[in-house]
Amino acid sequence: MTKVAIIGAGMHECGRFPDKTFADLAFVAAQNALDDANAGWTDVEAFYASHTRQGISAGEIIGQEFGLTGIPMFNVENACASGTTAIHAATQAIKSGAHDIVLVAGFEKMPRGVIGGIGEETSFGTRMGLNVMPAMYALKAKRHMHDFGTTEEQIAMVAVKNHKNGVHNPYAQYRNEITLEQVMNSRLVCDPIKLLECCPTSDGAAAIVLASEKVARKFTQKPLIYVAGSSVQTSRYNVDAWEASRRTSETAYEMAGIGAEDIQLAECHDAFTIGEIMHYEELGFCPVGEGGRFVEEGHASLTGKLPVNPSGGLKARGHPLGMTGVAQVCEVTWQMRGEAGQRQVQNNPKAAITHTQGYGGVCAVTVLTK
Amino acid sequence: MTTNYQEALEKGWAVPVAKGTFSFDSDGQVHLLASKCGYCGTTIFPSVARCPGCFKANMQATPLATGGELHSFTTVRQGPPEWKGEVPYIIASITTADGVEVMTQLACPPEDAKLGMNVTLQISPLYKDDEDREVLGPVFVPAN
Repeated sequence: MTKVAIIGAGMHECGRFPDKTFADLAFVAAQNALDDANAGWTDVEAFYASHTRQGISAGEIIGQEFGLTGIPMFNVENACASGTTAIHAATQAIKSGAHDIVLVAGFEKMPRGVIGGIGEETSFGTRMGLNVMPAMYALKAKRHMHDFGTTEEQIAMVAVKNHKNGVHNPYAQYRNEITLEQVMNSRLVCDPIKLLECCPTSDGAAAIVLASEKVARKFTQKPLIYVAGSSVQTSRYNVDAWEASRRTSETAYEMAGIGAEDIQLAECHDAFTIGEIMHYEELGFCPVGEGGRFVEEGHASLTGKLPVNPSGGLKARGHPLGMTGVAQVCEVTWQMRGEAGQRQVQNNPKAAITHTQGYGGVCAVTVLTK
Repeated sequence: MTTNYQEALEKGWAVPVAKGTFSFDSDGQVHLLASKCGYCGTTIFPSVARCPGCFKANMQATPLATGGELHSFTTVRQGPPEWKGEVPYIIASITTADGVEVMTQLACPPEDAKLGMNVTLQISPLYKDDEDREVLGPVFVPAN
């Protein structure tokens, strides 16, 4: 099977854009990715569009802006893991030999407030008011604090770190630093999770161009970043809270022929700060229970041994659901090429991981190597 | 009190929050209605069509123990658009006395909730539906 390389990455910044449609946002991101790859729309052999709530055939609507070339288009919905799932599917398509050049675009325009519309309308969970994303993370946070002595301050440090990284990301919704005191004093959403520990609801878009190894060098002379492993899995019954992400990342590490100890850069699902703490543990960066200490000791900082979320993460960059997994891979691509400007990590990473997870127990991972 | 709610449900003055999620025993005590595998005994709430333990099709409705232990909880201060009741309210995960992990609401002042504390199930009004009927749901409260 061919190796699959990322030859282009592009974004539209995250924020609130009431005067723009989802297609406007996705078009900009896709054109930026094509430009970055020195490719044109007519080079694209298949298009994967990831979103959760942009309606029927949203991908085709974007494709029509570029021109009717007749290529296959796929709309991919997998909650917060939609973007990573689309990349996984696109990678499989190239590996199968079906296509040499595939475009993936993730995009979303989101309503304000707590995310609604998850779960079946008449289900027990929905009618009892249990489908509240920050609450699901809060339940885990309270156990983590109880079982391992993790402190509220350690959890809040994730938000401080990610905002600091977001300052230098031109695509980030929030480009301001926040202090630990500001996070700790922000209003409670679902205790112990406070407002400044929650990702915003955002509009935004990101795109990548994937190519088979055979054609990649016809387009770009930039360093090739390879999708060395990718995996999409779902939760199992009667397992611990870390199991799904641990299992999914282990599958992707194995595909890539590396281990967690080889990872030098990560973009992970910090939808709520406790999530990132647990992802350090799930993805194998530190033992279970030590995630709080991992961030407190600075290992996950831009200058640490394993920078996590140099983009600012979901917290500062923003989390338009369908966009996120694709934006993570854009960030890793720029970081591994050395193009990340003032937020450039200094450890010249050779291997990186991106990770998203979402409602329904889905978990998706991409392992990238240079 | 519980008996009154049972009667209201039977006579249609009130409606259950979701069908088939709780039942009353002969003493009028409410129980969560789980599904239990007739082969391997795996028990899960809310009920599902196939056993998550052995994947076979022999799930039977089973009332759970009314008592349990508080595994984790959080106070929701801003509910999702689908929630029609008051805020704040508490979402809790509870391990029932028969060892089943369930999630529902905990009704008590947040400062009274402690991990590991004993809780017991009761039926409680949540909000009113479009026809002004009480919507009743199973919630835990601190034991004693």
